[in-house]
Amino acid sequence: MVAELRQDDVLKNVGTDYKYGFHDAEKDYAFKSGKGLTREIVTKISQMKNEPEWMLNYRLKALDIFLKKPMPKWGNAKLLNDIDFANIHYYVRATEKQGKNWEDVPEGIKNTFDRLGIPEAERKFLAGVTAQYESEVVYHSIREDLEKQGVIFTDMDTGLREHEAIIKEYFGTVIPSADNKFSALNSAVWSGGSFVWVPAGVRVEIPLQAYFRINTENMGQFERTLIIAEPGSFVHYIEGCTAPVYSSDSLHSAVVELIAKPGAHIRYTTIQNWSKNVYNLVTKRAVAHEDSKVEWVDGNLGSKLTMKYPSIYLVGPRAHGEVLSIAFAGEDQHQDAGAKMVHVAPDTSSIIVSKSISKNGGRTSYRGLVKVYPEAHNVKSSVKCDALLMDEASRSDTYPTMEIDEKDVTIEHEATVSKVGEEQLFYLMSRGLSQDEATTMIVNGFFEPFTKELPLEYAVELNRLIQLEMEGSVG
Amino acid sequence: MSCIPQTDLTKNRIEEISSSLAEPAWLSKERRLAWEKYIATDVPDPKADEWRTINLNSLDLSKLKTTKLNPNLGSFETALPDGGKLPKEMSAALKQYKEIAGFIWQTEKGTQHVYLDPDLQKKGVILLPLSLAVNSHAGLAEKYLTKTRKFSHDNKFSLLTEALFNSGIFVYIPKSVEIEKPFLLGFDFVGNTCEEAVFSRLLLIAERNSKANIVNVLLSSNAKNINASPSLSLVSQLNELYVEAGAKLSYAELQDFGQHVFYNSRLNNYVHKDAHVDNLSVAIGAAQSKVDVATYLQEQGANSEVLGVVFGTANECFSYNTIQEHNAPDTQSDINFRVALKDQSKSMYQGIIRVDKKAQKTEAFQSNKNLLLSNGAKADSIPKLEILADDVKCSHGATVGPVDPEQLFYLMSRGLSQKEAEEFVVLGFFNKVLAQFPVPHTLEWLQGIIGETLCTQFQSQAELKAEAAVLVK
Repeated sequence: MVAELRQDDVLKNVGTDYKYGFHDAEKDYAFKSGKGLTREIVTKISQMKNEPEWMLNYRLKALDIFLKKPMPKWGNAKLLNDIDFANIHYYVRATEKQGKNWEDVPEGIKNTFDRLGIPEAERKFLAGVTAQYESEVVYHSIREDLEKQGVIFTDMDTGLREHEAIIKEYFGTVIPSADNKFSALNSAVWSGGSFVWVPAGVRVEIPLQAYFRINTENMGQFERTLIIAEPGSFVHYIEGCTAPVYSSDSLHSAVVELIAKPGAHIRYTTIQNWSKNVYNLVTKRAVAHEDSKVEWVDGNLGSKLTMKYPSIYLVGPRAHGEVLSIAFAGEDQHQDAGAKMVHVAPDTSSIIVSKSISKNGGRTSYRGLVKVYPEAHNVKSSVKCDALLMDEASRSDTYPTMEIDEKDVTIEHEATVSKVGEEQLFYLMSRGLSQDEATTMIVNGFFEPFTKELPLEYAVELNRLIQLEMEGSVG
Repeated sequence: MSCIPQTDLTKNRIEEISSSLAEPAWLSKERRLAWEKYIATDVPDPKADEWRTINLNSLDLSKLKTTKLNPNLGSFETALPDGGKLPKEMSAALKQYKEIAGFIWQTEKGTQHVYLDPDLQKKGVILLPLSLAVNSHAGLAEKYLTKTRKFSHDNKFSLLTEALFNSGIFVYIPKSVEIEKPFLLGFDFVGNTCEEAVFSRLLLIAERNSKANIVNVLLSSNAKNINASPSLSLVSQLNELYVEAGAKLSYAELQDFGQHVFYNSRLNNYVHKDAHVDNLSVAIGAAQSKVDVATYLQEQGANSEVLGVVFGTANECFSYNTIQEHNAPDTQSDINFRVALKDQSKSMYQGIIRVDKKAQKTEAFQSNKNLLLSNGAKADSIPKLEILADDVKCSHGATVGPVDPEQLFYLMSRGLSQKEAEEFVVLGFFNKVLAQFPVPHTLEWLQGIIGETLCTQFQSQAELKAEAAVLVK
């Protein structure tokens, strides 16, 4: 099973699209930009979308920044330098019905859907065969409820058309284009993503999932998400899913901005399981105002290289931030994930819990930052990283950074790296479990702090997925 | 001592040093190789983690003049010097340790005093200024000094030290010789008003199954009389400890330079089969300190304990970088590093545990605790792990915070002022690390010195020690 999921064998380089036999005829697309990135292409993207002038200018400025910025020298610099920016289609607008065939989806992925018990309709969506989740009716009522509450939940392109004023005010304020090379790239060529606005005092009880949005630009290569929670509101947004998401695009670079106004609470859950040919280079950042709370629940299972460090800028007194993340790296995978907490205001607190497993030569890295600015009194921050190494071919790194400019703080960091405990295994096996079952059980337990934060159906799926990934890991 | 114009901080200087010290050809070659590496290495990036707390602008390389050694290489004595004539740190050490195996006292002018216990001399122990040893014990010196370049690093000042060193110490402990009483080494940067550069090397070899304890004191006794110049003097050291199979070596270093010194140091521990090394670095001086402590656990069963204590005051800046390289199975390393910062002082602690694929059954631990004693102080900590083997136990922990209010309350309820109570807590905080160093009397000696820096208002050292002891319990 695991072997079947290993698609990188087929894919040598990034940027060379459509290696899986998804050679769609050009006519299947409403518009497909040429390869490479130029001012003309960026202008064309903006025109195709009928965007206002300011967005075009924003994109063009970001393009200049992208071209000027050097590639990051840290992380997995070797893999990063393999990216061929000239060989990527920066914009492909799909027609209402995409031309991909279910038959073209690799067996491995189909089998995984089967084992996970993913519903038929969802499978096609996840495999990129249909551009949308075909259960419109199911979610229709949910959307109606949201509308009644005054919640805006739409894709970013529609958002820009219908709620330009709000977007103009907040877009790019949390993550400026110049933040890093990939945020600049996203700012220049973004397409799709979600726009969520929750009115003051409104609690959105069901988690918002990207599936609920009914339109073609559901998942993009350069998606852009902006979530604004007005004072006292609550929203839980879920991105991704446990099943492997098959993508023929080899570079995914999203930008996600969250704004939690005073007293608001945002939880953002991601389960990233891109197919193992994908570079997933994401910038995610939240601003937490007075008394607000932001949580990133972040699972990284797929992709070839993920570089993702969800961050929270705690700018208002008593704001609280949490990042709970897990990473699983199998053969030829590098999960370079972490978290950043920037304490600007007094009495702010943060918790980072990171768990990672490396297996079959995979590499996981925790890279994090806790920064406390002067005058941010009484800050409390705790960072805990645990790593499990399943075999001698795998690797685990921890690179936490603490920059503390204020005296009255309590900052703690702890990290451990170990293998599955012989004693734990022995105990479980003495109760009649096979070594495989015992190992899986220990791994599930290791990830439990993460899974228990997920909605039930996700947690069930994730456990099954881990079981799949762990199969054959012993002996 | 004479100041040489800056143009001599160049490759020509190598030939000059080599010929003035009548060095063997292989050493000039090593110097030239190091120079080439120095040239090829990027200048320190002031934004890079390991340099960003250091004020690189305080050092003006174009102004630096290297000191020229007095060809008279000091005197070999049959007794220890009179403690009263030495700076207080040294006399305190002589007093605490009572018995000393060997003693070297150097300044940038040259070696002042060399003493080695005659019994140890008979057993083949060597204690010499390095510039003499490279000729008198050329075979040994060549064997070890040519190994350095195989352990690459990118500290530009350390590479410069390798190329231009003109002072240093050589210590050799023969096979199976076990020495309990410590060697006391001292370097006094007397300095004057001109911006000087001193490059020195320490080479310590503990042969198979030997045992030795070394205490190295770095200070500037004349610091108070120096007019602070806008650009600092550079003291750059490269210290190497070869701990051969089954040997046990303990090395403590006290750095108490004046505020006119930019201190750069690299300490390399090479630990072989079933050998053990202990390091203790105590830093309470220098305007800027950039220190790398690297431990290479090269063979099965190698074992190390690296301890550090930093006490920052005024505008002092520290950047400590510890490297634990596990290159063989069944190796162990332990790091315990504590930093307390007052006034506007700043510290960066970076530590990396690197475990090679073949280093199974490694156990590596790292702890870094920072106490912030004033609002202007700043502490950064980056403990890192890079683990390539699976059957390992590695962990690290780091904390940053102020003095625990509960401990303060307890001490103040016993009648101490807040300031006194804080100072006790700091001393207790450091004690945990100092007490781990296995050479007897080191704790008492360093406690006295740190205590003096820390608590100027205490009536007597005796009172201080008594109360600190209570605190430790």
